[in-house]
Amino acid sequence: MNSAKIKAFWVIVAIAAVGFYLVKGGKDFVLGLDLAGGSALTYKIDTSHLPPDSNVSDSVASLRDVVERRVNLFGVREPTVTTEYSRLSSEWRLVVELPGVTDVKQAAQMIGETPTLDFRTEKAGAKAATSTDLAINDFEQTKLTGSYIEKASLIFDSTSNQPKVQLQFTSEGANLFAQITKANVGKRLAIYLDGSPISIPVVNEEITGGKAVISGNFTTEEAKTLVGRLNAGALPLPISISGTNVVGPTLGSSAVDAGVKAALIGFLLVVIFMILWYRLPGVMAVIALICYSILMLALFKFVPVTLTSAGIAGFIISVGLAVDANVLTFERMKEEIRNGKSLKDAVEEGFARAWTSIRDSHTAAIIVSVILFAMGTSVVKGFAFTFFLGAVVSLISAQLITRVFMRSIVTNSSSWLVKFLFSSGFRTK
Amino acid sequence: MIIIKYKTFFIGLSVLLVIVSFFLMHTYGIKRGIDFTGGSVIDITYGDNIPVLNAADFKNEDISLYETGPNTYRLISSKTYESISDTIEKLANPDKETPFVYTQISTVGPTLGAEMTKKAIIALIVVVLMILAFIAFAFRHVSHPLPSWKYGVIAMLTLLHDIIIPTGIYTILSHNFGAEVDTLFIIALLTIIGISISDKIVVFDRIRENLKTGGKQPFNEVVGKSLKQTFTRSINTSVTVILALLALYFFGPVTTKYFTLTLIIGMVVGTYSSIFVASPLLTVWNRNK
Repeated sequence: MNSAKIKAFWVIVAIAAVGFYLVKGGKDFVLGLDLAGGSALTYKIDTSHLPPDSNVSDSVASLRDVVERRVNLFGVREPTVTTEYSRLSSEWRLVVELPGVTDVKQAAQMIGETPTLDFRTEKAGAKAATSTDLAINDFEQTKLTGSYIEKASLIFDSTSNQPKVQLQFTSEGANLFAQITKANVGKRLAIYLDGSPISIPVVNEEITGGKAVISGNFTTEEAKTLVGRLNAGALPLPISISGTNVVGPTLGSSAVDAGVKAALIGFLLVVIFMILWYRLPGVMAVIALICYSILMLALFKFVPVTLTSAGIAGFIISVGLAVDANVLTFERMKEEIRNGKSLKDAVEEGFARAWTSIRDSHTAAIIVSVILFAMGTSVVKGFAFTFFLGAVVSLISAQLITRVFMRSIVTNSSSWLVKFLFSSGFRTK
Repeated sequence: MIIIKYKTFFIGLSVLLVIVSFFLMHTYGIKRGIDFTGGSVIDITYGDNIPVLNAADFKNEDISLYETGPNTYRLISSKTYESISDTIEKLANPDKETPFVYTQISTVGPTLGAEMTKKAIIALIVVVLMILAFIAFAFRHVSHPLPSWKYGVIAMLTLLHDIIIPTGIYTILSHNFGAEVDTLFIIALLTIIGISISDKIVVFDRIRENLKTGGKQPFNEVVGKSLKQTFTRSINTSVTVILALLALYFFGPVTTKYFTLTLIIGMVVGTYSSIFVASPLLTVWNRNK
């Protein structure tokens, strides 16, 4: 056996090992919401009431944490909660993805009914502290929000027996509360729930213990519900829903079946075409294509890449790119043979001369995919990422794998059989 | 070379198709989907009991009703799902005896929609400009007889051609079958750009090589020769990609049907323009100088 054959053998062994690991490896493919079923909710985060000197991204991050805790509490498997800032619309967004949750009402309740609680102080020049009317514009938000609550509990006033809600702040929250009360002695401190004031007590002195009592005019039932909601996590910032996407479980799984079926049939058609037209090199290209697919699927599984309908479409199109790289090389090889080169030289020349075309056309594809990824929403990103991976792996497979295989089958013989096997098309010339 | 000889016919055909496409876009209009306008699309599926639904009742609530299968319906509205969910439950299950399940709900708020429109336009512009810059760069050593930026400009013109014609045809689908211009459609256009630019680069690359080795051959002949050499490859690559796409169209998920069809049209148009338009245009530009 010559060294080219030995190389080809090792390539096959290596790819087969990857393939074996792909099938036997314990992990599953990660399916996106459109394939697995589930809901994605997009919220607009209202940061307009934050004090001007506060760090917006910190507040947004603590909002994210609270929502995540809340979602976890409901036992959703592998939820993702992310925040993003949109420059185009200059607003913050919260994106919650809940795999398996296909009841959108339930999903929205899970998050939407999380209360927002915050403390607001009197603005300079507000009406006198004794004023009883609730002028909302008199108050401005402080950094102290529901995310600093460690525990809420229901208590009853010892004289009037009126239900009240007692808050225990975290140590950080207790410090903030002490600062705020110290700076506002004699002034009003408003407690806002879901954007409206529920209690506006007057601060008598600095409060250092980290405890506050809300004495709104609650019924016992209302106070109980509020305590429950606050304990589950209060949101530091108000949010409002701006987009929903729910995919039922049957739609998803039928899309997976259809996608797999289409990929297999498409692959088979390409294989038949390649072998009929390019004969022996076609067979080599098909083997290279199988290697290409194994590598891609392994990347999908082990990176892991979240697969969506758009992502699978990107993969199928990248197969086209990979075939193209082989077609370019074979056409070039054929020309060199026609110009009288020996088989061995023709193979080397074919690869060398097709390289600039392959390089440039793949670069163009990579440019498109990178721009798509940078600009796109999650659907577009899914497509762009598999397309990008496809272009990169295709470059490697066309230049390295196909070349190794082609070198391994080159012979010095010039019998009619060899001529037939290495020529192409449906003519016998 | 026959293609260069009859270039007026081939280029003329393209110009005609582009004009027809603009005419179609003008007559039918581009129906933007909720991804861009905001609103909601809701798919529902009934069990054994299917009610008689009256589209007019839905219309009164600003909901368009489409029958998508024996027991499935699609509801499209400019309102969010949250604001019409009670109405839907009342209208779609009037006697409480025809329960249904939601197979898909998607709602896009107006801000998200406006942002998507901006993003799509920016993405298209950036991609086209980057490709122009890339070709000008890749062909920077080719300056005789055409400067490299002219290759870029011609590639860009034919790329526009390659996305205008599928868009024109899409408006027919949109008019007759309710297909909407959504995110997937934009992805399809950008993919057409990506594949079709590879096609043009391969032919241009061959011209670049033949100019280097060809000595004093006239430009027209060099272009003709390069076309002949790359012809089989162009067709074969398109055939393989179209084979894969046909499989995706006939057997693939319902959600990507229009996407795949747009890509197939784009592939055919793109291959045509690579062979019959882009290179002939090079010779036209060279002669006019």
